[in-house]
Amino acid sequence: MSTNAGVRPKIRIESVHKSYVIDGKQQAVLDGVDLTVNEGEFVSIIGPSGCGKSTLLNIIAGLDQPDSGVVELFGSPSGSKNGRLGRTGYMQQKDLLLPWRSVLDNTVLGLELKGVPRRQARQRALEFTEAFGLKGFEHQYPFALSGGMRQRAAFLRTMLLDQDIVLLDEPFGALDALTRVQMQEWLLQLWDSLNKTIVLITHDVDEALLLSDRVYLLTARPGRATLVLEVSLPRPRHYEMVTSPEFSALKARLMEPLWSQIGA
Amino acid sequence: MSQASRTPELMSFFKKTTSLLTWLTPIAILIGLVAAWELWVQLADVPRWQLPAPSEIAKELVSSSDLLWTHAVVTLKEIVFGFLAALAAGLFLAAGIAYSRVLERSVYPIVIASQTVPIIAIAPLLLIWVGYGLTPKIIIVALICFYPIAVNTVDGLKAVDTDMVNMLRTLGASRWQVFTKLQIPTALPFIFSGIKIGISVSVIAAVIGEWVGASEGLGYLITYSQPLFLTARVFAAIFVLSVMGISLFVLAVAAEHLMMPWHFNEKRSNAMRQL
Repeated sequence: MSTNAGVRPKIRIESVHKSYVIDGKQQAVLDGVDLTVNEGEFVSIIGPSGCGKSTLLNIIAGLDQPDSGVVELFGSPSGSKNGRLGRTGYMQQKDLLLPWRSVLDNTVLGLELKGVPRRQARQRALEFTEAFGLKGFEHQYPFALSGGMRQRAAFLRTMLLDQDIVLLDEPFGALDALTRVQMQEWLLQLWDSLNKTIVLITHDVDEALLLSDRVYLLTARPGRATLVLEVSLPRPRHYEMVTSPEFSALKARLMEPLWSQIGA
Repeated sequence: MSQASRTPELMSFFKKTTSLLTWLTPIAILIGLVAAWELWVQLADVPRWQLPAPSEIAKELVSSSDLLWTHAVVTLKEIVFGFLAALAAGLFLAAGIAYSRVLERSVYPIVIASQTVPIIAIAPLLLIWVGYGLTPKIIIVALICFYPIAVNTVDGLKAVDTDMVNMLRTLGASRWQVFTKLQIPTALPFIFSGIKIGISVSVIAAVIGEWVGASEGLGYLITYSQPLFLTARVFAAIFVLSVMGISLFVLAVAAEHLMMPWHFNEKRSNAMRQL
């Protein structure tokens, strides 16, 4: 699933600049970022804390607008940020489940906002609760769930809208190491069957390599893509691959510039 | 802690006893106070018109029950109508203030400043403008209940989590949908705080309204009975008023639990986690 000439990219970002006023000073957060994601590709963005990864995702999702540069979704330029809002599935690190809604009613939120009748929306969600490991918990309130389950519920809420592009901002960042590995395995399986274009933000090198077709490395603030690494590992992938020599070789190529970034 | 060494049975017995004690203590104190009052009045031979014994007040409650009931219904009407008017106005205005920045800048300061006007001082004016009868009392109750409801609702509607708003926007929510699906449920606990404060002061408001000028209601019954030295009746009316206030408060708490089961379950489970 490497970059094909002639294939229209699902996401095209070109020399995007963005700066914010931080501590009373204008500071560049993104400094000419280029990024291309083709249909059905799984692309990870990795970088040190504060490199503007989340800003980049907010811009793609339409929550934010770049100071300059090109942002294209589905092969057509989208001038205003409102033109992009609601056209991608966006999942953040926090599950952001509404505490007053049951798990099921949380998952159907997107459909409900689109005007799908509640009964119909619930039926659609119920088809997926098993695959998302939520069976038997549909009518619980979120506080009764474990961190992993809450995250999967948030993920189902994102996926039920059936957007072609899915943006994941450190979705497993808040989970413990073991649950995170389980979630990565689960996401691998799910993605194989879904055929979505996914952009994942992470600071976990193993996670990026295990899941992605390509990994973009961003520099520390101001963020710029310094390295694009094709992950040539065969699919389907499993967590055991983490210890393979190919994996280690790829990891070394990614770690070296990353370490120099954070000045270690 | 030394509790860790105790057996679980002992622990649970200990816990049950403590929870029983927390309930029994205030009741026991109340009974003790009433008994002391009764004893003192009987032994010291306090004149009835000065301070009637609790037993005499109880007798008065029974013998004047029809009279008390007639006046209680009037006061209850003033409270309920006034409170509902305040609730409607408070929620509506708060929604406007939270939704529109123009309203927030123009109307909200006036709402806050209005609280510095003593409502008791307005009460006589209301008699001039709308006359006697139920209306001026309903207005006074509404004016007093309005403020805590409106201010708490504004705070609640603004207490939304920005990340939640962004999440809804990426799901394609309109501003109105953010308001109904996120802001209103977020505000509910705040709204109920306002309602509970409002209900607590509504009884006082109704009595003040009746003191200024009325021909019926429990507040009127008090002002009417006092110069006649029907002190037991004054106490009986006060008793009915507090029962009314407590009942209304309990009603509000019940509604709160009914409308926000998630809120209380969440609190309980958090408390359990901390144990």
